[in-house]
Amino acid sequence: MGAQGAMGVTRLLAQWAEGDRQAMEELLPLVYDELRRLARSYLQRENPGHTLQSTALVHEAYLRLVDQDVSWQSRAHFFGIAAQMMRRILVDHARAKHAEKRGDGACRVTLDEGLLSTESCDVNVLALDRALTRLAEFDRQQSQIVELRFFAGLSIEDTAEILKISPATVKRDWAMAKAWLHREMQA
Amino acid sequence: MKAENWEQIRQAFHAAIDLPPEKRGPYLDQACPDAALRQEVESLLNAHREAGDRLDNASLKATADVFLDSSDPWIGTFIGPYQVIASIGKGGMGAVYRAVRVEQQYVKQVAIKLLRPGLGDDSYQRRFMNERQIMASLDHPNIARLLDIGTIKGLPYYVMEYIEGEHIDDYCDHRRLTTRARLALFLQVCSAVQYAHQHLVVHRDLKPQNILITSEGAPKLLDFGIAKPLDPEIFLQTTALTVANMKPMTPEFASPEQIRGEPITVSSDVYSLGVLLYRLLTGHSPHYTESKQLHDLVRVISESEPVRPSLVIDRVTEETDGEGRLIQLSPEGVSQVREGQVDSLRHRLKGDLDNILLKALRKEPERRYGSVEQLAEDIHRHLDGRPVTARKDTIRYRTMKFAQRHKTGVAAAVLAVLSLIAGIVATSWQAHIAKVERAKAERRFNDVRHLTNALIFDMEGAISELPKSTAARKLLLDNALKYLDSLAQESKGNVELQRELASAYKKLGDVQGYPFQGNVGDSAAALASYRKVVQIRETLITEDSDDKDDRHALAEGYRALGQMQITTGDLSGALSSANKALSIMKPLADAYPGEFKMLDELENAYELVGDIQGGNGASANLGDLPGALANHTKALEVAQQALRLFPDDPSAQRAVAIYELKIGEDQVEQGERSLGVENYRKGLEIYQALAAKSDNPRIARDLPLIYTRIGNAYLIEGKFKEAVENYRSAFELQEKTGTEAGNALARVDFATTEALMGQAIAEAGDRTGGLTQLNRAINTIEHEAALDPLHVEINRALGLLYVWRGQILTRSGNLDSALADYRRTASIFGKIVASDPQDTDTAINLAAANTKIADTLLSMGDLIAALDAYRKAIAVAEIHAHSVPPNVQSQYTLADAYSGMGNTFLSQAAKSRTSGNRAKQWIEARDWFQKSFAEWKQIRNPGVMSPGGFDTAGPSFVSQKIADCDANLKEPVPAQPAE
Repeated sequence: MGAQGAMGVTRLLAQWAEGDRQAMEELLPLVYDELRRLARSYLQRENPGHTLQSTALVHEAYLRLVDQDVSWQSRAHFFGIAAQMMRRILVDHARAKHAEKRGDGACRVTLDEGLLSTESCDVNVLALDRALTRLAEFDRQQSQIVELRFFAGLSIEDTAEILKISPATVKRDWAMAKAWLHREMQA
Repeated sequence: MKAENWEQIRQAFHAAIDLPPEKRGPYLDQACPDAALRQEVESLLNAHREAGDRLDNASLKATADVFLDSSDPWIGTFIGPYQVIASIGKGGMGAVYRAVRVEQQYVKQVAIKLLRPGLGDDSYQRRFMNERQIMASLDHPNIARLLDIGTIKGLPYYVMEYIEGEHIDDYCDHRRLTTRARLALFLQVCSAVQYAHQHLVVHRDLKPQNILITSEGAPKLLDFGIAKPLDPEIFLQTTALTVANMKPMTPEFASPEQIRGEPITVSSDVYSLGVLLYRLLTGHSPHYTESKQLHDLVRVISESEPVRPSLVIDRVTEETDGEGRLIQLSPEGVSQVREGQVDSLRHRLKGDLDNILLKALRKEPERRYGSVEQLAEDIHRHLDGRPVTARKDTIRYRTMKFAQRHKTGVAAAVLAVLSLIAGIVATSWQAHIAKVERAKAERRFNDVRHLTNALIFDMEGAISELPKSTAARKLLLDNALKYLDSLAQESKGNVELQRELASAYKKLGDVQGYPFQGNVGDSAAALASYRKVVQIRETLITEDSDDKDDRHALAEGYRALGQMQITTGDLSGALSSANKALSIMKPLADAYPGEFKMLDELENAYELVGDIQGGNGASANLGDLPGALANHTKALEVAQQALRLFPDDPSAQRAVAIYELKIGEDQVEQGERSLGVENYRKGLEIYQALAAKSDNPRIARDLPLIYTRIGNAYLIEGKFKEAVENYRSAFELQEKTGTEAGNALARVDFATTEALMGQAIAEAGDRTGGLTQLNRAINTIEHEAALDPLHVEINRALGLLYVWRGQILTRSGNLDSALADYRRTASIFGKIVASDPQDTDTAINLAAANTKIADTLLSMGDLIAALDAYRKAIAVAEIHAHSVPPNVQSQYTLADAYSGMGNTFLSQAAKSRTSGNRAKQWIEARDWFQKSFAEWKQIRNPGVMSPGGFDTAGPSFVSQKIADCDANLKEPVPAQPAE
């Protein structure tokens, strides 16, 4: 990707910010590829059993793809996309894996230590994804918050900045979303 | 939970969560009077407590395989019954995986090629389908076999046998295979590629990495990934038609036309195989550049000739291999893994292999081997010790014929076909079709356009390049024909379209009938096409009878038909066609005497009739020389008429010259040498004028040939001084090119002229001077023959020169040396005839040489041997002297051989002791002389030499001998005592 990618993403972000919906189409695959590429290189450095922080991934992708003196709007868009991307990646993978495996009913559904271990229990990711989709029907803002915090690993402050709401609101919504999801996934 | 409540719940929750836990209850009592609402909020608060605050720092952790696999989600999954194990590589359109299937006791390994997701575009899918179709049709032990095809999640894939092996170059080097062994391996590869070609597939990326040798030593061809189908059916299904723009080829192995983006043909595979073989046999790349820049490499590939393999092994250089390692190349190094010693390797490569490789690597596709089969055959020949067809790069030796006026260059013809078909499309077809038919027309329009595009971009080369034996060429032309035929159906009644069609058929016929690569064209198909032309044009005449252009085109069609009929040997058909052409053009030219094209076609028609009657150099003819002369004369008259209209047009001038020359030939053929010379001179004058004005190389080349012809006529006539003069003129004109380095055939021409001159000088009386010239000429040609021992034309020339020298030596009484020369000739001609029994000219010349040998043996007193040689000569000469029309050289030879037999019996008679025996010999001798005389009577106006330059005694000598015999026999025969 390299330099050309950075320029491309920045430009596309800007265009999208201006309302160019086509830009989004072009943007998605660029970001997607970059994330996967980064993930790959991360993992090839460590030994394969090691865990990886998706947030680090997203941040690094951001650093690589976007010019640093870009508007906060663009930054918001980037992370918004990246978060969705990560969600996609993990969910797709889980689905693929899950389709091959049979009889996984013995899984306990927990959000354990903040660890969504796809190795032990794929259903987690899928359940989360399902739940999150449902949440979005009730409260879009809350589902965005979850996405940004879960998948892109953003702090309360960053999330607040991106969503243009107060950190206090983020805190509260985050609490509620967590609770709701937890409850939803238990069912 | 209902959506409308949500906001309420949210508000309540927000407020409650900020409170310390013990204060929440009371707050809710207050804020949520609704029980259900309160329950909801409490439930959430509980959940919040349960979930804890671990999620505040939640960062999604995932184990490695999530990402590893999601960058390649297929690993570990099943595609059909195969489980994907690892990725082998990625290509332009898809990825290749190694997969396994556990079957009972063993694990079967396969390779799976899968279309890349994200390429949902139709054209990619289609191209992938193409590959599958290609692969499915190929079933050969040396091609990686297709096992299965299918789709998974909407993506097409195919399963192939998994090949483990070494790249062919490494394999050969690691095992230190000799040249012979390498050639054997290479031949197997050729067989696979040839097989693919027969299935209409060009590989286009043949390189060592794509040719693995298994542990059993069998080559396997891989990756027909960018292979190109030639089957027009497959081809026409692709919608997005792109001019070949395939990047993923390796530059080193790409042919010049691939590099330039030009149409690819089977000849490109021949080239790549040539590069491969070059590497295998020498270790070097045929392209050498100091710089490693891509554009330099490209330039070298398209412009420079490779160095001969036997010489390149001496080069010291370094290369980077596929893995980036630096490799040193030295003579010792490359020899060590091949023949061992540098000298051995050089010796092995010199000659045949040099020539074979250079021929495979020619820049121009049409000068390479026409097919992989031909390349393989030449290698086989080499391995068997037989002569190979590859020759040093020389211009085709010119026979002493004049250039044809109407030669159809194949490239021009093909382009013409295509542009005509395109023209049909361009013509506002749709305007002719009623609106109701528009949809049908549009479909047809697109079909034709596809065909046109397909033809233009991919088949142009294919049509002319594929050897006739391949079904593919026929298929391609058949398809073109099919379209034309169906267009013909639809175009009935549409006059404009019919005209276009007739033109297209004509051009198609030109392509079909064109001889190339040493093969004869497909005459039957060409005939059929020309007949269609004529048929269509005939209908146009009756419907629209005033159109002069239609008539002109009809005459042209008959002429093409007639020319093709000559080729197929149907002389009466040819004559009928030619006469039809003539009958159309005569009134037409009369009506439009000012139109050049009318006159042009009229003279062509006369010329054709004349050619059929009297022959045109070596082609079959009716033997009606007077008729030929009359018609060629008429052609001349018309040409002169045209010249009066366009006095400054060089082609009109050249036409007149050519007809003069043809008339001259006709006359010489009839024995009217003086008249012939007159006409030659007229042609000569015009040529000289043309040569003075322009730089046309063809004219420059023809000029000395005319002088030579004139010289020959004088020589045969016995006018030696005049012969010398004309030969000298030719000699001087040829001197420049004849002494240049690099042009072997020009040198041979020049030497031949010098030899003729020498012969004439000797005949004129200066034997010493003549011999000197002749010796010089022989030296030159011997030198050329040594460089290229299998070159037929050079050897033919050498053979004749030895005879001419022998004749001079005979006159000087130096019989031993003369015999040696004649024997040399016989040996050379014998070899030529042995390797090409169809070469009747040389067979006849061999007979003449044998006659000379016999004459000499007779003079030396060896009667038995003389008889034997005469008989050999007679056996051959009789056949050709009595064919229709008779071969003139044969007639001379036969007459001389018969008279030689007569002389032999006369010698016998002289030796006889009894008069009875003597009489028997004289009777025998007289019989032979009478036979000879009868032969002489068949020859019109015999000269002192035969057309081949062989001395002859002539009919007067023979009739004298007959008289001698008669006189001897009249003496009273004494009573014979018992023997």
